[in-house]
Amino acid sequence: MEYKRAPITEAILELKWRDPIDFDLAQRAAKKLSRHYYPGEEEQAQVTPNIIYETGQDPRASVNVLWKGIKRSSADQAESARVSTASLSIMRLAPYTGWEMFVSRAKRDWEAVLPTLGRRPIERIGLRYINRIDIPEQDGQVQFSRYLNPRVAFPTTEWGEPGAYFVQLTFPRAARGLALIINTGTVVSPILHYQSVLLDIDVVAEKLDLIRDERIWELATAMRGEKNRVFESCITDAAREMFNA
Amino acid sequence: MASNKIDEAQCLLRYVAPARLRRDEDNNVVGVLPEAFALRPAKGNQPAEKYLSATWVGYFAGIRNDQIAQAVRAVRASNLKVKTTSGFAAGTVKDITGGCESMNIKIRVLHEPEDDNKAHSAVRGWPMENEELLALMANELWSEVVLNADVPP
Amino acid sequence: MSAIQAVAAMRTMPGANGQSARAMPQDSISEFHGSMPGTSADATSAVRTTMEERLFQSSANFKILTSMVAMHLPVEWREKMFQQIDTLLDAEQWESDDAPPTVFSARTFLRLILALNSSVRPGLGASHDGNLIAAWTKGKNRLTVECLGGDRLKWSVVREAPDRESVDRIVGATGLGRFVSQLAPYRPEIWFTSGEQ
Repeated sequence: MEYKRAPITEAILELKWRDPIDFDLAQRAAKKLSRHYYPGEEEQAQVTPNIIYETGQDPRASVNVLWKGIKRSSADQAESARVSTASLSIMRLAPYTGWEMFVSRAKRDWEAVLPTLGRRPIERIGLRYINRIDIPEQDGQVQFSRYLNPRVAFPTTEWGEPGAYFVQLTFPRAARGLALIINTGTVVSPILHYQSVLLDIDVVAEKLDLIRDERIWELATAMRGEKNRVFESCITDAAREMFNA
Repeated sequence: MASNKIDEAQCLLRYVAPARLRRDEDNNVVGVLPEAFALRPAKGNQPAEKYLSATWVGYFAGIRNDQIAQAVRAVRASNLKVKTTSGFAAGTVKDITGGCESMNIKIRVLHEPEDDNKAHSAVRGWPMENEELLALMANELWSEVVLNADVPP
Repeated sequence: MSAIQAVAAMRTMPGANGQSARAMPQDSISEFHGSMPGTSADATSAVRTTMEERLFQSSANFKILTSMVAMHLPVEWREKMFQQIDTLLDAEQWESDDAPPTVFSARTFLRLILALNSSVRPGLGASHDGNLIAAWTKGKNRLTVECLGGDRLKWSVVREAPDRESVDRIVGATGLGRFVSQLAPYRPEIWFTSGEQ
């Protein structure tokens, strides 16, 4: 279902290689992504600080830097692609422009990096949609259960609705060979006198050994269908009205 | 250096960085922001500004428009790096001084020629922080804008 | 242009690999996004050295934050505001002593825009110490708001009296939560409604 003001803040499609690649190869592949679409470029690293205390000595600090990949961004920062040692990720920030545009960009970028990477098996596909549902307060409060179906049940109602919560639900065998991870919880709202809830839906296909492109995109499209079903089951009609206001 | 009080009928021209020009939603310049008249506080090794810098328009000969153009060129020739989309705010000493006096602020507007700008003027006694004064200058008393791009080389 | 982004090793997303969940991130971009690690709006600290790189990062932060609330803005606003920020943060026109607008100021600015519910976009400027300045102008009537971090605002109003014989001049420093009500006596619709008043 399409909404006038869809609450999607970010969509991410990740294709994970079965065998990790080295950073140099990731860098070379990232450079094949079109500079016309992605003029921005950033190197990304995982930085781990270490502090060592030994008796009788001053503490020593060191930093481990592990280069992970390259992120390329559009001029308006809404679209990006990341080639890392582990995967290719395609990202879109709000405003979301629809599945067809998202998946055709993913295909375009996949085809751009393939000649450099060589055809390599994909062992995992992740399709993640992060939604932020902004709800106006009434008398300073919001009844989250009016808008969302994943709910926190608490044994007593004498304390009223919770002001903040965070829940992760993992369904390792959700449907049709897919796993499902849902993160939901309150976040700081960007709008005064509103409260916001995150609904982060991650559909995962694992233990794959995909080489053929058409199989990758067939599966991604099927996962999108699954994601939509999950999203619709997580929201109420009150939320739908809000998204179409 | 010699310093002389500048007569109240005279005009001062102050450089306004592009980010301190007041713009409308379509980026057209419609004035000056109050921040254009703020003294810089101390930062790192740099001490705080002690006075507000401007250029004395009357130092130059000719009719007013010619004087202003010469003043702009003097600033361009100085050590200040004038950005192409910057502007200059023009105001009379009388208005500027009067506005300060209305807030019990006593300033002295002095001709203090510098090696890189012989028409340099220092407005001394300018408060380090006074949002009301800055707004008054920007919105009313020191608010005539001359765009750098409108003054030929 | 490339820059180093440091991704904290602790920020790993729970997934099928069994890594444990982490508390919600609290920095400005993440607050708008509810961002979990692994997303493009990761709360990473970018080390930018040259002024051009710092301006790029400031612009990128602004654009990412705007995207997070794009669903609440009129459709054409996003593109127009990006043009405004590109003009403001043009490296050729930026004073080298100025600090680029901070992400904290950008956050306050966007929250201000959403709170005011104006149909007119402000003009954009910047202070020398990293704050965005929003300005609305209608003849002699001027509203200027400097957006500091943490929803703090410094503002000034010049407003013609109803008889147009005099002007009211007001300056203030207040939190965003009280700003809309403090502004109300000055008939702000003159700035926020399209067309002549």
